Amino acid sequence: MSAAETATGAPLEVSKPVARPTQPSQAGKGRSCQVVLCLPSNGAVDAVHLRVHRGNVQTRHVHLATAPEATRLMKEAGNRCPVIALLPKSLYLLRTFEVPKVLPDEVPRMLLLEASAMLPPEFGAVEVSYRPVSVRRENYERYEVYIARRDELSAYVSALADLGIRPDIVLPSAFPWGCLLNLASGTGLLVAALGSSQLEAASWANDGTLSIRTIDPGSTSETGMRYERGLAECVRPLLATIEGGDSPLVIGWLGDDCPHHLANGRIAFRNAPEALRQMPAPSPPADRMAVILSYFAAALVEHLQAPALGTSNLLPSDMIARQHRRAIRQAGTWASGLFLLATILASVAMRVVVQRYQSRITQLSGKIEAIKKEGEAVGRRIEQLEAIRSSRTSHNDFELIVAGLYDSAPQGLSYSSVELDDRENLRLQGQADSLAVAFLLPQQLQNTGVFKEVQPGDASRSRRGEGAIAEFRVDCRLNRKRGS
Amino acid sequence: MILRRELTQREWSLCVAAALVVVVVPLFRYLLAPAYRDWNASRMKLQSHTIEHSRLVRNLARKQIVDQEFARLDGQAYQTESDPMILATWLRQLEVLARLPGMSLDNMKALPVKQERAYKVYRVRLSVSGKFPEVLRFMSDSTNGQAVTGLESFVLRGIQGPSAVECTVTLKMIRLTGERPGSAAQPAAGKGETEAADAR
Repeated sequence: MSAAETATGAPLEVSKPVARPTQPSQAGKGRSCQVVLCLPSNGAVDAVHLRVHRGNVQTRHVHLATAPEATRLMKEAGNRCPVIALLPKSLYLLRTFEVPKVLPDEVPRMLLLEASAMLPPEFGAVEVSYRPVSVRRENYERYEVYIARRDELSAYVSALADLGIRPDIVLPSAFPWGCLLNLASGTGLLVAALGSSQLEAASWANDGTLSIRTIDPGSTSETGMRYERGLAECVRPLLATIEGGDSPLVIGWLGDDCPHHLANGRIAFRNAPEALRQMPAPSPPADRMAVILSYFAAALVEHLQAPALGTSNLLPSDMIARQHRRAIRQAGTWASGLFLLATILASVAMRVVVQRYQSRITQLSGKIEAIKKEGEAVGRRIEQLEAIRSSRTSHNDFELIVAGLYDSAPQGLSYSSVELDDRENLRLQGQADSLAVAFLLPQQLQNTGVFKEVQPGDASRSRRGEGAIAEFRVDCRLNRKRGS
Repeated sequence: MILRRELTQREWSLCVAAALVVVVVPLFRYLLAPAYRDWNASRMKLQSHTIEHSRLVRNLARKQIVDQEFARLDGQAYQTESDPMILATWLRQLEVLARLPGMSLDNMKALPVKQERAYKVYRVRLSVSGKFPEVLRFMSDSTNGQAVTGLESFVLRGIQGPSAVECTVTLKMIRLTGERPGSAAQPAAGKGETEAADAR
């Protein structure tokens, strides 16, 4: 476990995140996504709605002072747009925990246990979220853990709810700070004012961990001098790391009030790093907070689908449960409504079809009535003709079968019995001089064309007096069409 | 809202389930199911009407051919007498045909008359034995007369004697019932048939 700071702004060190973000203009190309990022400030909420559509980034800043304004923004953004509330550093602790590898489901509970063991008892109930960072030891995992007091979180979310904002995610500022530092390469320290008067300063430490400090304003009201002491505390350890280097420490100052007068040979100030300046300015042109939130939103866009964003969510668990319940209720209401509608539609459709059927039935009944008598009479005569035809086609069967049997009988074969049933099945029985002759018979019968489906039955040879005789049985069907 | 605070999650679930049942069951029973029943019945009725209409149209399309075939039919194809009279005549004819040298009629029996929708089937089972050429001739004569006769089944067996066979055969004869095409009235069965026979 690495050293960390307290809630009042002591130094804090966290490791670099595993995944480094890329430029939004490159990663966002060819896809569409959007996010609403908001931050409460002085009884109102500053919100930025960032939309990426086929590589085209649009940023809109809205200062929300009343609930209807928030409702309008949410309506414009749509249900699918995630609403992220940025949690300032002053409201959460940040730690890096190194724990043995466990199943993914067990990680939150394990980190909660670690956090509870570390915190003093008077700290009260806490909410814990995390994101994985690079591993240093085998069979161990490292997590950047965000810890916030539940009562402070509830108050924070309630303040948002009073203004009509129900965030999907309460995101600790460390998450976007890491993304911004990756974008602003060449910048040693990034500083921005989040919320009221406090500044947050973020930098990578030598060991690759993220360091965030909260800088409280001093008692003097002179611009630049208010943060001088806190800034010096942030810069000092960073200067030590570049000891002996020729280039000065570059401090990226997001927003206005950049204290250029503090620059000297060892530190230099930039209003915003080059990579961040390429990002689109919010529309309409707005104040410092809008610009800062735009930077944060642009950095977050690349991570909207990342699992780490979900695990970093510090939204209280009871509120998540409430959100789920609300979603289920909404889905249930929609499903019930749609079911009701579908039932009514199906019923109406069936009634309409029944009407059409009835109309066609009436038409057909009329037509049938008109031709029924004559049609039935003809049908009856057709039936009679078919009966006559069937009878007449059978009158030559006897001669036909006898002729067929005579033609097909090989030398040395005689019939003892010929049976024809009313289904045209024919059974032949007889004797032959040899068994081979009996086996020749089926093929011969088939060749005459008078018989079909010829199946040889029993065939056996037995001794009779001095010699022997073969007896056979053949089943077949009369092929009346061919025979006649 | 007061109700919402007083009910537990489980009670709410039960209430929702009960409400669903209360809504869905009558909806199904009084709206969807009757509509489906009507639709199904209408569909079946339409189908049967369509088939019936097609059948009648098909029949009428064959009317001319049927009339031509009926014109060629002999008068003996129609039932003009009662069943016993027809059977008696036919049996007598068979007895006459069986009087051949070298062949004897061993057995003869009239089977029950089969009544179809538009015709009757008269059947006779008989056994003859004798020389094969005579039996063959008898079979040919008995099925090639003026009447519409045919062979239903037979069993032919060799018996003692030079080329001697025994043949048990079931013959059938068709007689058409109902109105004869071209005739004014349908001959009635029973008394009417007797009267018609007397008139002839």
